[in-house]
Amino acid sequence: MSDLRIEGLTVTYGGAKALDNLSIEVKTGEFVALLGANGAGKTTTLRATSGLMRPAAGKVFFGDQDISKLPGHKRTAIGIGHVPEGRQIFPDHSVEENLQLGSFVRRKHRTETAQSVEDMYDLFPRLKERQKQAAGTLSGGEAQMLAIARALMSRPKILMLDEPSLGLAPQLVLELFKYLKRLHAEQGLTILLVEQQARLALQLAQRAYILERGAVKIEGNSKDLINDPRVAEAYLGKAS
Amino acid sequence: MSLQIWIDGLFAGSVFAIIALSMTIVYQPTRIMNFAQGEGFVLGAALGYQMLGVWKWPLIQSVVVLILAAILMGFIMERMVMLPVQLSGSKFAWIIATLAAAMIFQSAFNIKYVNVTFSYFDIIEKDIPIFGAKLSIQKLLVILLMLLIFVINDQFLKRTLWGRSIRAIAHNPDTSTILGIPTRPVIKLAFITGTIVIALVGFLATPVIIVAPAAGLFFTIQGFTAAIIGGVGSPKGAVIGGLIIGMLDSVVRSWLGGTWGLFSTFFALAVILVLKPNGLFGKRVEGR
Amino acid sequence: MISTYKGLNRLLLSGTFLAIVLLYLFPIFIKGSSNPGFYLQVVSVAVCSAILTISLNICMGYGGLLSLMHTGMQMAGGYAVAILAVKQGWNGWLALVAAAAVGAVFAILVILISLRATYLYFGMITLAINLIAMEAVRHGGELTGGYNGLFGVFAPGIPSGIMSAEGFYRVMITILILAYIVQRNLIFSGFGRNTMALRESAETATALGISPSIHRIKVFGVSGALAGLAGGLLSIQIGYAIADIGDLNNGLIFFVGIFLGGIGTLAGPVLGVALVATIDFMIRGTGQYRTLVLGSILLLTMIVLPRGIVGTYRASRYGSPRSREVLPGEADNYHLDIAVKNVAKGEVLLEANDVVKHFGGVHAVDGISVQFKAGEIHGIIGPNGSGKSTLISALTRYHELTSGSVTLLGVEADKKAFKVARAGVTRVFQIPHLFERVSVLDNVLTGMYRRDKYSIFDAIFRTPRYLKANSRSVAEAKALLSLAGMLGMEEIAAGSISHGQKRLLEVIRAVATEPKILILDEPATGLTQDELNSLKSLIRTLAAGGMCIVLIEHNVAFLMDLADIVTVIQSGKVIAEGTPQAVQKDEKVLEAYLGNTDFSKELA
Repeated sequence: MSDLRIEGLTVTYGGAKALDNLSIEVKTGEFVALLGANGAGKTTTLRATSGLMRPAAGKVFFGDQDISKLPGHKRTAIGIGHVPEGRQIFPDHSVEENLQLGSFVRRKHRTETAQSVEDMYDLFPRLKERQKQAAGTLSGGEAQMLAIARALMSRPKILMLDEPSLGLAPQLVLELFKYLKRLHAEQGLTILLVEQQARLALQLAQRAYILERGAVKIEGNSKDLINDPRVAEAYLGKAS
Repeated sequence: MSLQIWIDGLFAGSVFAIIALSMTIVYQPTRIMNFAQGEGFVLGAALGYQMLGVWKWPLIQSVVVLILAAILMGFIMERMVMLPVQLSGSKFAWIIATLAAAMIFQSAFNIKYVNVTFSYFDIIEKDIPIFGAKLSIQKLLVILLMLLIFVINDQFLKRTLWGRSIRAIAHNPDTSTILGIPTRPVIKLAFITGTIVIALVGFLATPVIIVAPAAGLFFTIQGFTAAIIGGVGSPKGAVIGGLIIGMLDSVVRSWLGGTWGLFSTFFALAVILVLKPNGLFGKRVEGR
Repeated sequence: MISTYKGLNRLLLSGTFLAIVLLYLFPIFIKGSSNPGFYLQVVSVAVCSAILTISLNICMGYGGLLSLMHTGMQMAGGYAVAILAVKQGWNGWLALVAAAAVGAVFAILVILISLRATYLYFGMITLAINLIAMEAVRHGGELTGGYNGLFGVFAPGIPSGIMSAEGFYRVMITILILAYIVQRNLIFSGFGRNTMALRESAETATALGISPSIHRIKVFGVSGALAGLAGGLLSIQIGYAIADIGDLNNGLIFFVGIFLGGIGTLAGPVLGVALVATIDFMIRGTGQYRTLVLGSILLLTMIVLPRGIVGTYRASRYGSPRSREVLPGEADNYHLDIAVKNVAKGEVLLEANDVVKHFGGVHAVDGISVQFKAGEIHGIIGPNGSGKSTLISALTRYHELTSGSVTLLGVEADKKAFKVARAGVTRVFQIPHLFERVSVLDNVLTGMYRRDKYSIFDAIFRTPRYLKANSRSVAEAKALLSLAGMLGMEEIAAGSISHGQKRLLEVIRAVATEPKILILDEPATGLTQDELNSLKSLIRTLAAGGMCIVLIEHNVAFLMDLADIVTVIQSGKVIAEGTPQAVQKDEKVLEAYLGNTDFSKELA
């Protein structure tokens, strides 16, 4: 099993509570969206889950294992993939090198990782065209695809994406989200998507949590939430 | 100007280039300019003196022992530097820790070798005549070692997964962690390879330049100067910076005398930093 | 708790006094010993080290400037005295003053050529210059005595005779005490606050109107003067000046001292050097083991006591001040007129015309025109990455404009960020930029420095001009604190107050600069409801006084409640502007925030 369970997570940042006793759960095979205005604690949730931040309290479970104390790079090895905010591709490495770095935890299986690179090229054909180019020369959309492909190289059981649509033109966002849908539907990948474009994310995800000031404000099925006025309020305040 | 001056400059430049390269190796994953790096040079000189000069060991055996000793020194140095850096919140932690490590190693050498300067015979005592000038095999070996280390380092960073990981950590440690790259072993590896590289040049160059047990800091500073002129963190910059100060020193030295050679290198450093604050090939860095 | 802190402080004060008395009487105690001259020399050299470490502390500890040339400045000061007093026959006191001047000039020349260098490179430049200086001295011919240095440097006479070793020893102790007082007076003055502001964040310091370059020159100059003085004293004490004094190895004792005692604390360097000198004395004669021991102590200190002795004590609950009881009616004592002067309500203060800012190919701000008016609360919102912060940076000249113009009070805005700040536009940054190790009161006072019309010398000697300006500023700062409900917390370190109070304090500090336009970047992040309410009422009070408040905020409920007018930005362009109510219903705004609804078919 590879359910992700976050229980009572509190993260403080220079005295301020970025997360305040936050609990969420993503079951195997689910597509869950994590929504909320900027500063609500979405990115912090992902960073704490992948071990980049030390929580002040709370636990993170992956499957049956309590991974709260596990160092970050080992969390990747057990199947937590993370596409960070702002893509963070390595600009001086070539596209292919970026992908190979993604499979660092599987470096002992050479033929398998070589195959994975090919699989990524099948999934994102535009990356194949640019495989020898420095990743810094990619356009925003291509860079985002590379970031996702790189995270997939570790064969994660769950993929966490942090605002993949940021800075992309609407058409590219649509294309990107189609890929995510395919990954979820065809490969059965569990996905936790952090997104500001709430309406869009709700059309993709099965369930969603809406955060406000570091805690879950609303949770429910996407179908129910998509027309819920409280969602717009979480972003723009109550229209009076 | 005679050809000999340029040959000597090339040799000195190669020495500085290797020192700067070894600093770059440590700098890349840590963002630390290591003040204790030059002690590795003294290690090479001291062991060369001890094994070849005093004990008359065969060459191969000496080199093997030297590398093992360098591994040990790199390992100890990593702990001496990284432990305080990780525990202390001070912005100056790295500089003080590396400075302290430098002092500790330096006094260890001073305690062991009282009133000794390291010098021993050339490994191969032969000169190659070039248009009236002479290039000793020993100097040639150092120049070749510099090229070899540059190429191996370059290929390692570009072709191997671990090398690429080092570049990745240098660029962004957090993202490297979420890709599953363990940063701490990589940092250990960097300290160890950096020490091996600088110990090797200390071992090879010492018969030509006489090295005192306390000379570590001098070589550190020469390496810094080269690395900073070239741009901190850039292997290419390290080599070019090393060659620039080596040549400059040699030319000015023959022209105006010894002190002016040293002057000219630091003067070049000041000029380059005023004109190009990040060095010739460097990117903007804030260090730790 | 309050009494414990005060009690301990009193204890420490009497301890210090006792130590000073003992130091003065020290020559009497050692009279009977076999070698009094030697003991006197050991303590005298330590005193020189302490003065030099104070100098290093001003520049590294308070100024954040990595200097590896303090040994070189010490050497320069030593030669100044040696050359002027011995060769030119100057009066010794005058030669000491000259040594301080040489140190200052040396330091200022170095920082002038390296103003553009970032902090690592600055350290390296100082290292290189240190080596150049040593080489120069070694090859200075007759003037410097070459490798052998200059010998026979004697104590300065009063008026011309040779002073006794004991007399000179007491002079040195007095100079050390004076150096400590100079350090303390500087640090507690506007000069010190600006120095610390610059150390913690050059960006924030600029936003408060401090010019980083000019201030760094001053800090390094003062530090150089003290280092030169220490060097002059040392050369008289040991009787010679030699290039080796500049060797970085000799700097180890200062680094150990400053870190053992506590970098960036007033007493740390003196205490640290006292300890190191004692250890050094006990292991004397061990030759090379000395460096080994000192190096190991330095490493251990960094691992076990990263803040040093004084730093650790100050951070503990015994050594840090608590909030005090506010006397009933005390707040009434502090009046402050926060009304913005010479500005009519509704007057346009800042006008941006078609401002464009491109980063490479990225059009971060793509033609924005906006007006900020007096007495108005002006909200700026937009999705992540829409260009809000870039717009503010462009308007306040942290970024150069690609095109467009910014008019401030009817004239073209200056191109330098700190000058825009001085013209009355103060920014509060998104990430808290408080000066954490500095007290709450000092944080506010930093914002007032432009009103303080006293010089470094006024501060060092605490002239009436300084005292008057300072007491006025303190009263005003207290008035501001009282406005935010923070009276009684003056002495607490800003780092130890709650997050909400920090945000309020930051706003207060910005208000202290007497801005006409106050730009707040996400002030509400992480605040509790109570804190949000205090912030709201503070902002309303300020706006009522005629200040223009520009609010960039993601807590839309908070913003919509406050703002008179809201500008919505997406992809570097204004997509809507109007009252909060109008903006909330604007379909373009909804789409910008929540994404398009039309993708349902494609994603099905």
